[in-house]
Amino acid sequence: MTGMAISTEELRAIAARVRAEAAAAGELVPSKVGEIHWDIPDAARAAVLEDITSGIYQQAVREVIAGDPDMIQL
Amino acid sequence: LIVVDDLLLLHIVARRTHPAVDSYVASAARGDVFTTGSWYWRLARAITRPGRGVFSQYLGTSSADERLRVGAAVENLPHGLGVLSLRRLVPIMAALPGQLNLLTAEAVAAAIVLAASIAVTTRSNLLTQAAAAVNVSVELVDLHS
Repeated sequence: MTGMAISTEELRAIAARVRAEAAAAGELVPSKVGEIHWDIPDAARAAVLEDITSGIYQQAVREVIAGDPDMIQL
Repeated sequence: LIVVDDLLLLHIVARRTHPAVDSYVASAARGDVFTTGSWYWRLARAITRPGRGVFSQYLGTSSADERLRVGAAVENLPHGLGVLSLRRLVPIMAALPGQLNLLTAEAVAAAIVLAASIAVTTRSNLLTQAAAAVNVSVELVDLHS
């Protein structure tokens, strides 16, 4: 994605407008506050934890983004 | 507010107990954690990818009902975690200086709208430089210590 050559002031103005629109639509605050609850079985959650601590998840990400420069954290 | 990458998001929703993650879990409980569509999409694709992972094996041996429940959980971020739509972010992404990829532009734009910082688990020069150009701070979360 190539950015347009615009000034910092213009970027600030766009950001302010977008922020106001998002705030008016209630998008800047979560629909619910409190402990995050992921509704999956305990065994599934344990499996996810094992994959992120072993590096399996990170390997899966590398495979997913291979050849997809838009998804890479360069 | 903070915008987190996919791996940190996964640590938060899976409730991994880790000194580097605990403060983000607390922030999420206050409603202060957002991610981006790109990071969320990357998470959804990676976690469900058939392969050698324990989660993949779990899915392979689960009942159809369990797979549906897990699929629904992956498809729906828990309440309390925020994602701004590209409808909001594209005008800012298009105005960002430099040559950025989608993932980077979306993260920086989200941080600008939210007046947030960005927390990542992988060092990224492109993201760091793009964020610095518009005065957005980037935290590197060390999950290996």
